Order: sequence, then C-alpha cells, then structure tokens
Amino acid sequence: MKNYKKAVSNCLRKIADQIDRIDASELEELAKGNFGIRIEFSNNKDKLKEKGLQKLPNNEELNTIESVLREMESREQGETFLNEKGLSKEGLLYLAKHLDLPVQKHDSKKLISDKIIETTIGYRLRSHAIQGSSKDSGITKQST
Amino acid sequence: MSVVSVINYKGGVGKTTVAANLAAELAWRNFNILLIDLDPQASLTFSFITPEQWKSDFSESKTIKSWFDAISRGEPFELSDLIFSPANVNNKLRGKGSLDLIPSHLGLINVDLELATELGGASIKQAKQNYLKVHRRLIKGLESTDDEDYDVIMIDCPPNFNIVTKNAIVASDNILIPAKPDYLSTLGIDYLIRSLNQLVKDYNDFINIDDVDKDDAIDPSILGVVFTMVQEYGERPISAIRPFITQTRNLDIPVFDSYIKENKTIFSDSPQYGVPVAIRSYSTSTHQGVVDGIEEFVSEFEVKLGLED
Repeated sequence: MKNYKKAVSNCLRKIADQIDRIDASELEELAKGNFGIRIEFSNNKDKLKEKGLQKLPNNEELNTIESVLREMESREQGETFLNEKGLSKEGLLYLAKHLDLPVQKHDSKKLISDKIIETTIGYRLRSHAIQGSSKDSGITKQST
Repeated sequence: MSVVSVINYKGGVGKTTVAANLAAELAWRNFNILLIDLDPQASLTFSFITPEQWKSDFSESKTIKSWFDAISRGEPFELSDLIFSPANVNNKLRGKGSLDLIPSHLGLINVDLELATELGGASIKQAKQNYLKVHRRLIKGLESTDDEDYDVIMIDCPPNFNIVTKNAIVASDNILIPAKPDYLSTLGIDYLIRSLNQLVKDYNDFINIDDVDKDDAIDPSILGVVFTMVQEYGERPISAIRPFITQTRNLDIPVFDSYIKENKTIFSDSPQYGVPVAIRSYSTSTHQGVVDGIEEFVSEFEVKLGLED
C-alpha cells in the first residue's frame, strides 16, 4: 500500500513537471478544453541523450539574437541570419518564447521562424511603408 | 481646458465606448466634461439619450449638424447653445462633476460634402484662405464656450478623415487613439498617424498667408493608443494579442499601460441605460475587474493630460 501511494505521488509529480513546461498559449488552449492530455511512456535515458545533442541558446544569446534582428532592414536578412545561427526547432521555440510570441510545439520550424521575423523586422517595415516620410516629422511625440 | 479628439480610421474599435466611459469616470472624479459627438452614427449621443428623446427634442434644430448648416449659411448660431446635460448620467453624478453633450445627427454625413464645396478658390491665396476657413469652423465655434466651464472637451470623431474630422483635429490639443490589438488595427494606427502628420503640415504651411495670425498654428500631441476589447488570461492580455501591443510600443508610438478589457455582457447594453459602465457598480469580480481597468486607464489619462491635482 505504502509503495503504491509513493508510486502514485511520483507519477503526479512527473505529470506536474511536464505541465510546468507547457507554454502559456498551450496552457490557455488546455484550460479552454481545446487541447487534451495524452500520456506516453518512454525510456528516460534515450530522451536525455537526445536533448544533450541539442545546444539551446542561453538568455544572453537570446538577447543578442533579438538585438541583431531588431536592427535588420529586410525580412531576407533576418531569414539568412536565423539560418546561419543553425537553431533547432526547439531553439527557435526558445527564441519565440523569449520574444513572447504565441507559438505552439506542433508549429513548423518555418512558421516559428516567420513569426520571429515578423515580430522583430516585419512590423517595422510595414509601419515605414505606410507612414513613409511623414514618420520623420510630426506628432508622434507624447503629450506630458 | 483641454480639447481631446478620440479618433481612429477603423470603425468598431471602441472609440465611442472609450469616450463615454472616460468622460463619465472623469466627471465622477469631479471634473466638468463636455462631449461633442461628430459621428453621423450618433452612437455617443445614443449612449446618453434615447432615440425617441433625440427625435423629439434635438433632431430638428439642436444638433451639431444644425450648427454647421447655420454657419455655412452665414447665420449667427452659438455652438454653446447646443449644450445640454443628459439626465440619467448626471443623476448618477450628483454631487460630483458634470457631463454635458452636444448631440449628433445622421445628416452630418452631408456636412462633409457641403464643406468640400467651400474649398478651392480663384487663386492659390484664396484657396488657402478657404481651406483655413473651412477647417477652423469648429475651433471658432468653441470660442463660444467659456474656458472655465469645462476641464476637458472630448470630441468623438467618425471613422474617417474627412473635413468634419479634420475640424476636430484642428480644434484639439491632444489626440487619443482607441485600437484593437490585432494586425489590421495596428496598420490603421500607422495610416492615422500619417494622415495626422499631413494635416498638421498642410494646415501650418497654409497659415503663412498675410491675414492669418501665425499663433494659430496647430500642434496637437498624441496622448497615446489605448487598446480595447482586450481578452485576458491570468490577468494579462492573451498571448495571441500581446505581440501587437508590444510592436506598437516599439514603433515609439505612445501606448497606455492600462487597457479596456473585453466584456460583451456589460458593454453591449450599457448605452441603453444612459449610464456608462465606468460609473456603475457590479456584483461579480469579473465585471468589477472591467471597471477597475477603466479606472486605471483614466488615472493614466489624468496624468498624461496634467489633470491630476
């Protein structure tokens, strides 16, 4: 009985750990009932070995990538830069989360990359295309 | 006294809701507010009086359209003669500030066409003079109100950039931009700023003619974008809309930190009772949370406008 209770409590703790790793947008979908939960059993040692092969960017690297992207002047420059960085899908997800983007684990690598480009470069290009030369003068100053 | 235009090209973003609730909460805080409804849809008007009351007491000769028509005909008509105090909201405000209104009329849609016919001229100088005369109509009309009577005059503009809207901008010290946090709305903000910059440039270029006081140059400031209809999860905007809020900030456009939360239940029928959501009390925490959000926005507005004590 004692072992059974301990096993159940360990199980629940592992489930809680996994739920903790879900990003905010997926958690919203789960809470709304649009997503469900499926339990798969796997060999932990193989998973850990797989993760060890992927180098995920740390905070400093994420900040640097973001700064560089925000200075770029075309989407193509941004795409080239991200390709050269050689980030895995999980790395791109990390970057997207750092940028507070609504991405999901089942999004394709291209879609995640496009969202990153739009949120760092695309929106500036759109704004400049619309505002044009009027952006350099005029009333965007804040009232105090 | 400050004059604030509430404006966005896009319809349905909550301009009228923002204007009505902002005015009501400011009045609750003991300020005296004048609302001017320049939208032919008259939504702001119908947020405070019923269509039946409007038809019987105002539509014939006591709307902003009546005033524009009279001025175009060269007849004397004081804008201040149109001001009235809607009963329901002022009953609620008893002992605090006041909220007055100049109502609109569907026929205001024709005023733009009529004003357009007054533009142009036989010479460049005459064309410039007519441009200024047409676009200064409202600011001249506001001279009939006493600066001491109101702390804020708030103008609810239609979702376009026609001559009536431009009259509002010329008359304003400040611009407030309600917007929904989505892709098309954020493009609309860029369009609006471009149009505002062009109007200010054209207007101020034209005042460099002989018989116009150079002090009449306009210089409205953008108070900021206030995001509306914001869906929340975990006490912050949902992840799908946060990028649009962040992108607008990153474009160096002033953005209010607080926002108007979405709640169809309380916003959909509030105009029917003539008292905005901001000054009604609600028993559920969700509904009260919407009111709290409006109050935070109004506090920020007070600071930006320099209204606080």
